[in-house]
Amino acid sequence: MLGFLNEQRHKIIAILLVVVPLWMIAVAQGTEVGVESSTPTRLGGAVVGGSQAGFNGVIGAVGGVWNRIVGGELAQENEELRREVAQLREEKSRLIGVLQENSRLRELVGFKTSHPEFELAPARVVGRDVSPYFRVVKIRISSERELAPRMPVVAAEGVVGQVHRVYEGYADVVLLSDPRSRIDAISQRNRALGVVEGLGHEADYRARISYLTDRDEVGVGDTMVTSGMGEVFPAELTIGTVVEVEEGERGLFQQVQVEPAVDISRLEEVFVITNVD
Amino acid sequence: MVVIIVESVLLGVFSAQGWALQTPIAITIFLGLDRDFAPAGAVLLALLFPVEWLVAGVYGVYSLSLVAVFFAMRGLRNNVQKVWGVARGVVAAFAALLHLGVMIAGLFIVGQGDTQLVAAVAWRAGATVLTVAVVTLLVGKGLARLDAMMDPRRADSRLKY
Repeated sequence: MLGFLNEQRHKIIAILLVVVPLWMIAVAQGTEVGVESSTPTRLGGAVVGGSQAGFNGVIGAVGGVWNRIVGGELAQENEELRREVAQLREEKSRLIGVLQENSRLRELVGFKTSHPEFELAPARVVGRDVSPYFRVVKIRISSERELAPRMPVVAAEGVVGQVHRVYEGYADVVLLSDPRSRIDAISQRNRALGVVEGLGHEADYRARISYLTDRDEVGVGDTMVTSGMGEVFPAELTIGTVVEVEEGERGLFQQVQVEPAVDISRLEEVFVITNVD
Repeated sequence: MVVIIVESVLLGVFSAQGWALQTPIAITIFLGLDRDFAPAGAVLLALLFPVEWLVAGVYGVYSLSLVAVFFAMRGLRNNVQKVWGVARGVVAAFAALLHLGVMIAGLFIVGQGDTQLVAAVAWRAGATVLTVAVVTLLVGKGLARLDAMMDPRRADSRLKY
């Protein structure tokens, strides 16, 4: 038997090399974001995630020492101010959403408002995907909460993306700028509906808004928030700001680009919302 | 494997996600050109799953593209310069194009004609080809140097070409 395997090893390896990727494609769920992982994948992914977290700790420590040497107190003050600005922006955005919601509900059914309390699982970014084609970050989960595919991931400024694959203690998050990402959105100014789709561009992390007709009149500077219709993201979370509006080639839909509210290039700490119905 | 993991961490720390070095392609080219079929194939086979976890793309498509590159390199093995020089850099650039082509075809089929996904991948073609050519030369030279340190006789025999 061993002799046969040894003799035929070239053929066996050649066949396996072709069959294994085809099998991976066959068991995958197409290009969908948010897939269940098998036990070997969860364990294997956890080992890879652990290695990434280990290297991240070492490199982060070296980078931190360097930053302290170069930036000193000024960098610390900048960081504190940046956090404060982000917090105020988020509060402002949520306040506008709540006020609009209040106003609409008063008109329709009287005084009745509801504020969903999110259960947040904190997580830390430990690595990014190693291909230039996709926009995925690996996070290490810092709590005991059980994560599931498609759970929304947010930062203080707004939407980051959604959980794609869950490993033991780690998860892949598909960012909103990934070309597979689709998020139902609404304009905060005039409630125009669209779908935010990632462009996969490396420099600016921009996304585009699809299905906005010419009558929707979205303008540069408009804030896009989640509509809550896709049953993945709760409503009124900030996605980003419209930075470019052009008429579509056939005149039916506008070509709109949106800059994410979250500075994805500086992403370190995120929260996973674990109680979205 | 360590090289690829360190790359992913560095991309995160230095916020340079779009500038991925594509080390899995460079390593596959090295295996295809500089190693015997069975050990090289076994190593590539062992790398496929971790690479998929690190790429986190459409499952299996990146691996299939790596396998296509590996077989192409096997076909070219005896017709390319034996040292890691400009000729191998050119071969690496073509290998990157092949990788991209298989990825686009795979994504088009798996994504059921999702042109946005294909466009996002094709958008990176120029930078990818250039990056892979340079990175492959560096990785190839580095690993060949490591070979020479581990097994000096092997390095001696290569110098005869």
